[in-house]
Amino acid sequence: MTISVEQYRSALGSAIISAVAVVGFLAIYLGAGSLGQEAAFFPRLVAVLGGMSAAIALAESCYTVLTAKPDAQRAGSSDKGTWTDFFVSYGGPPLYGLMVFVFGFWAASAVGIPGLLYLLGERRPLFSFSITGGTLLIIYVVFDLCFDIKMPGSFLYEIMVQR
Amino acid sequence: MLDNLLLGLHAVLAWEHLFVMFLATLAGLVVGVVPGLGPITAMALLIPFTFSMQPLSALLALASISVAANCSGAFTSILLNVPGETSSAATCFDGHPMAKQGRATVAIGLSIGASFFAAVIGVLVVIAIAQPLVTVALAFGPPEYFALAAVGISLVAGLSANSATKGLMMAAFGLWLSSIGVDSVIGEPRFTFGLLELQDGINLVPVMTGIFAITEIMDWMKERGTISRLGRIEGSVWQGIVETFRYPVALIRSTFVGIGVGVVPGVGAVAASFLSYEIEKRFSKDPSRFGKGAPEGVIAPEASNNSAICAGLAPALTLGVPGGATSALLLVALTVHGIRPGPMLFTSQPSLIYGFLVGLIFGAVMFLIVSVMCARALSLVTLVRAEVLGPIFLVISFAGVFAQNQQFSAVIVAIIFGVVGCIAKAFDFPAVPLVLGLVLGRLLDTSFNQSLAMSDGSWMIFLTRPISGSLLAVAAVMVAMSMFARLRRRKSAQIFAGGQD
Repeated sequence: MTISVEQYRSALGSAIISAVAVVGFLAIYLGAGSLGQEAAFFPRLVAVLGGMSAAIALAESCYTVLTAKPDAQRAGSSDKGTWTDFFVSYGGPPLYGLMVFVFGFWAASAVGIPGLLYLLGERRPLFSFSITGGTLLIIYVVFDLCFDIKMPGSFLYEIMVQR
Repeated sequence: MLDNLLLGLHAVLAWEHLFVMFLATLAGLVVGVVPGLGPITAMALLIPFTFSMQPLSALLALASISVAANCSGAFTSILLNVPGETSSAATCFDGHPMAKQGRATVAIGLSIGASFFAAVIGVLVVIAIAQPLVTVALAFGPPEYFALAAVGISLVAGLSANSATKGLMMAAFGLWLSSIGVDSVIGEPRFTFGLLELQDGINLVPVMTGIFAITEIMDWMKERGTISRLGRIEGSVWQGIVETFRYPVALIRSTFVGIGVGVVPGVGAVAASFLSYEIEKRFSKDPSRFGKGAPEGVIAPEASNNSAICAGLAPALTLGVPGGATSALLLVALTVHGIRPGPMLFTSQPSLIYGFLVGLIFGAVMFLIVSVMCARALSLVTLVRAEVLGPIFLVISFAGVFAQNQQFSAVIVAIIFGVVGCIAKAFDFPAVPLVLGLVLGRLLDTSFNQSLAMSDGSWMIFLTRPISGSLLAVAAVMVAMSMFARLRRRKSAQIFAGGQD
């Protein structure tokens, strides 16, 4: 049986995720042992259900990986985008979250929005700054002015003040 | 009933009430389209402003903001594949594919039409048969709640198109997540790892924002281009509203599914929307259309989540038992104004209560007018390049998640589930069963333990009670039907492959 490279990669990834899930559900089952009998019943039931389905998914994926041959000629095997795109797209949001934690929401967003726009190919500074200003203004009006919700402050600043 | 409606109409038709409702509708529309912010946050923040208002104005303001926020949550589901409200997550399945086909305004029209119809019917049903509805709700004990949650979980097989085992795995993950925090029956902390933030459990909003919004944003930034593959918008919002009524069976069925689920306290609009989506898919002559922009796929979740919220008012007003967070906040407002909910409320304060219920219909009408005016402008977002939309919505989503309980831990949860959602999407693990597990897990767990306590540990309690037995039979039939359909699909695929050879 031949499958596309993309399908082969998907099966391999599924096998790894399922294996991790089997270990995870086993850990939940064992971890529930430290709870009282009544409190432990539901997580244990869930761990058995999840563990069994993960084991079946693992077997299905392993069967595909072991029996099928990847064929680069088959449709669906083309890769889109570069590694930079990949890192910006998938690494950008977690990095922005870290920036919010360290520098606070407003500073992180004032740098994060134009930074992401630049990395995604937007080279017009006026446009980037208008987008940033507009977004932050809307957030300020809706959250701060209308609902009196203060956005998170800087963790770094708090440490500096404490010292 | 007509007398009551006229009494309510007389109470509502005052310019100050209508003005307050209009402002609240506008505010609700804004709140609804911001991922993370929802009717509950909006109502909670509005309550202090209602202290100085007349009781009816206060209730109408809260009801209007709730109706508008709840209905407009579907807009972002359709336009961006990012649910504005948790109850509109199921609208993403077919609403967003319609937006990709350039039919965003039509999809918004469908959601407006379905929401409007369901809200009006839901309110009329509450006015007409509040007392009998409550009798049904009172027949629900822990075994029935367990069985109802089991019906919800049985949807997992149908919602996992490619692999039922992967779907079950994700549902189990969601169920485990729901067990994190202090156990509601015994009071013992579970899987909190000593973290204070986990004592209250995992909140649904950051998980949903992570799985749907952050994952989608990451994909936009990678794929680029515009959401509308056509590069233009076809159709109009009125076309969508008219089209809603071309599917009367789906519309009526979903509305009544919503009423049935909504009247039972604690189950909520999220479960109702997933349930009615799956029911419409099962009853459809061509289920393969679902997930590719089927109009019934927008109508069903929108009709049921709105009617569920309206039906949730029946136990809230007649018994003082809230059907969900929205009705709980309305009860708070009633109490603040010295009004005690209960069976006598409809006779002791008729003009207030019927005025409020008729006001909900007015709220739906105002939402219809305001949203029709805004729909075209909102749809233009599908023509904006994804690399511009990505950073904007990333920042707004983070702000919305943080606003929920103003804890940074919610943002961390959203990021974690954004990554989980990306991995799940990349390797074909369906994310919806995880959400369903998280929504229904606590109900399943609590009602299971309470049922066993009632029966001294006998599992027969679930089968011997007529409602729970019937619901469990429905769950078993749903699982069997989806397994049968899967086997049939596999068999026909094999025949097709054999024919090609």
